[in-house]
Amino acid sequence: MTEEIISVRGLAKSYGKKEVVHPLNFSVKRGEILSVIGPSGAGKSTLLRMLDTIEPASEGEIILFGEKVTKHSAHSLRNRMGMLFQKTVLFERTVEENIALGLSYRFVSREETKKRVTEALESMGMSEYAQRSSRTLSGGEGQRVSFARVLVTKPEILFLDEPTANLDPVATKVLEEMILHENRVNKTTIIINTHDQAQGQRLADRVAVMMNGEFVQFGSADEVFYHPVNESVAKFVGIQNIFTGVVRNGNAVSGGVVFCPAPHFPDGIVQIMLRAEDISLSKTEVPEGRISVQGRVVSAERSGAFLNVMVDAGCIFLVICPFRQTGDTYVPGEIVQIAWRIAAVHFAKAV
Amino acid sequence: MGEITDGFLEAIMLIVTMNPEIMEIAGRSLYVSIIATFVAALIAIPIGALIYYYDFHGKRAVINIVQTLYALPTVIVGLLVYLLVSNSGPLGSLKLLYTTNAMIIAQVVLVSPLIVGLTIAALSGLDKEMKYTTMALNARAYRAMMTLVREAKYAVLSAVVLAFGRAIAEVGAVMMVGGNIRHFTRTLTTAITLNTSMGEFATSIALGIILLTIALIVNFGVNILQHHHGRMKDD
Amino acid sequence: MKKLLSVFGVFLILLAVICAAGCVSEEQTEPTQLKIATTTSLYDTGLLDAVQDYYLEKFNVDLLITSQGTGKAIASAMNGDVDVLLVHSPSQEEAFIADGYGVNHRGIAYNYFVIVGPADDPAGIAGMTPEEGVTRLKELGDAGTEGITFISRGDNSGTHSAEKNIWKSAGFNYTAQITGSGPWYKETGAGMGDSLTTAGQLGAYILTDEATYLTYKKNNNLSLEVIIDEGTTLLNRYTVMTIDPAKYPNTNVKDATAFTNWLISEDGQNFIGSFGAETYGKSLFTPMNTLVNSSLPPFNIDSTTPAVIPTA
Repeated sequence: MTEEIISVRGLAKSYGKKEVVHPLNFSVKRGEILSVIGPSGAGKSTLLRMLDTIEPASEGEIILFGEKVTKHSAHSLRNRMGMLFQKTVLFERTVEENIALGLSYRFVSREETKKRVTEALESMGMSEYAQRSSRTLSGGEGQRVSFARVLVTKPEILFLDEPTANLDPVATKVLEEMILHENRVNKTTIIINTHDQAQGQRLADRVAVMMNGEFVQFGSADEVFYHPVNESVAKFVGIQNIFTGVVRNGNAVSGGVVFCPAPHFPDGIVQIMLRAEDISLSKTEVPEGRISVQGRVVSAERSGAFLNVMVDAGCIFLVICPFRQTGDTYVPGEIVQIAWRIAAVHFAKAV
Repeated sequence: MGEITDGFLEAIMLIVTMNPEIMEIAGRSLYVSIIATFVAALIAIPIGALIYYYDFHGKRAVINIVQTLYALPTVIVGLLVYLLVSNSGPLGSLKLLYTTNAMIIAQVVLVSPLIVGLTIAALSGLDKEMKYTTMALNARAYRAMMTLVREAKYAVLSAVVLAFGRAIAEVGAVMMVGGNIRHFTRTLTTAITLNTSMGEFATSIALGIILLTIALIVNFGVNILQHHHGRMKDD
Repeated sequence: MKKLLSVFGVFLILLAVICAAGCVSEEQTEPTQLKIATTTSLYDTGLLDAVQDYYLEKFNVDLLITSQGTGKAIASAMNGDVDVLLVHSPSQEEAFIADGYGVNHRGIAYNYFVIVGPADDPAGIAGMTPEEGVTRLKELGDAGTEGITFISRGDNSGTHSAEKNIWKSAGFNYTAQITGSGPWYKETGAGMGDSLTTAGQLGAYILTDEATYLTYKKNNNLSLEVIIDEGTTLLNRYTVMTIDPAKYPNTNVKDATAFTNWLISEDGQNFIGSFGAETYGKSLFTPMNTLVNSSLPPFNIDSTTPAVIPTA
């Protein structure tokens, strides 16, 4: 029974002369998690606000639960949805009163409100917070309370506008778990904006890449992360090695490096993309079944638990390897072997 | 300079002896301005909230006009209300001229733009995500506005206190529509004008000191209310 | 919600206290109200406050007196905002009656205008007639003589009308030759008291009614002395008029007529005549009934015939 719970046609938004969201067409299936990723200012927040009917569209139509969004239907449709914002919004009341706010707007009875709020606090392990002033909460606690405030209204669709952008890693993880839990247990459809492409990958069934008001790519998480459609998307999803090269004699070549055979690509200019994590680095070994080149270490930097090594092998490669696994150190000037599987190389048309 | 010290001494004498005529005009100033401020707040805060909440063509022009009205000269307000309530004016039959009711009306007209504009400013000082949150939680417009005004209540209260200050200190409007009639529509400010024009400078200064003292007490009271409320929330 | 109620509660208590304070002066039987518009020169002497207290006590009528300058007083009367007009501007009073606004016109008192100025009289006009005095002032002023200034009310008040009359009597065209004719002639546009203060500060000459001058001299260290005080053009006449109910049917003609009749009665005239004698050494006003049957304008005004309640 997966139907289209959200369906959008020609949806656009302009502020005066400036078009912030170009006409979009897409749909979202009931129960799925769609992640919209993209840089700040891409129009993601505006899009979500339009879908939640709290901002009017300049053009186009939105169909929610099979019903068209109009000035009259907006209010009743909104009743079945909820939204969480990047900036934690708490009102100057107790935690309990904050969580109950949406129910108060819906004139839900006091007993039912009490029941839902108590349950929500319990499930977050925050029961003793009920009477506390909202001003005393930490960032993560506050955002969880905001989330609970939305959840107690039992929305069928949830819009999350960069919900963890202001949180530390631990709080982020807790919130992400709450989000996934909500989707699994209640089959809530979720649309989440994020500029953290890894988060998008972690949470989403499908990913839409939004840049300058348009969807430049829309597909499964794997498609977007491993087969970005152009250089901008590739950079955004964290592909660090992007080279402009040519297809010659059936091979993709750049800077003297033969990357791999490219049977499906016509001769001509091409973008060659390779994830830094997909390249192996070794002082001597040349693993089998891989394309391998020799290069010279340019620099080696620690980055958390990883080592970022820049290697000049005709093209300058960035290789990321787990530092403690190998225990290896690399010195600038050292000769090394880098290698990758053919399947790890991705091509895009040069724009 | 001698007049100022004389004024101080006279002020103390008038207050300590509870001079009945002074008590009467001080009471009248308070009565007119407190009621006017209250009525103006009742009208102006919702209007300010509405202007803040809705987007519409010409919103910026409206806000501009409201802010321009801060500079309404009090005499002009007095003149306009006078023309309305004069016996030969459209509302003459209500017999409002030369009564405290006309004075209240004039002061409501005077301070309402101030409260509207500062309410808008107070609400605009809130994060815009707050407004979005109330909308996303599906509040009806009036509920959302109530929630937002409540969040901005200190700034809104400040606006009301400012409006009261302007009302109780003005003289142009109450003079025109009240007529400064002894035992009837005389206030502290119109009494000051009269005494000054009669050359009784020390008395004028005394009345001025009394007016400021009253304003001080009112402000003090409001501050205590704010402070007490603020402290309660921290427990 | 609770906080809103408590704030409201505090407000109600405050209001109750104020109302109690304001409601201190409650009368036994409700007095009727008579609305009177008058000029600042007359009101600022304090005569009318004294009349108000006396009249309420004796006749149980509350006189609501508003004083805002001759122009405003007449405008209020023409708008029907008041029942009675008390002014001292003969030409404007004539026009008022001719336009059908005023009835039961009676003279009630008079005093003199005086020309006051700096004690050392730099223009040397002491003892001249008013016309001679102002002519000399103009001469010196036009020549740019140091220290010669004349202050005018410049506000179409009764006093200003009298001043204009003096210039006219001296043979000048006021609008062409006097107003704006140079820095020596300054128009304040202010009331009598304020104008006197200005004149005192600048060491200037000014035409003033005697009553205001005396009150200011006494209360306020006014540094001006009387320079010219004799001349027929210095006579200042105060009158009372009732607003014509034909124009404004809801005029309180009953109390207005009674008030008019009291003013010209022996009781009223004595009251007016004795006002200020103790405080200032001389009365501020001379009752009009001492000039019965005068044919000299502006004193050829009825000041004795009892008024009859006018009909609409």
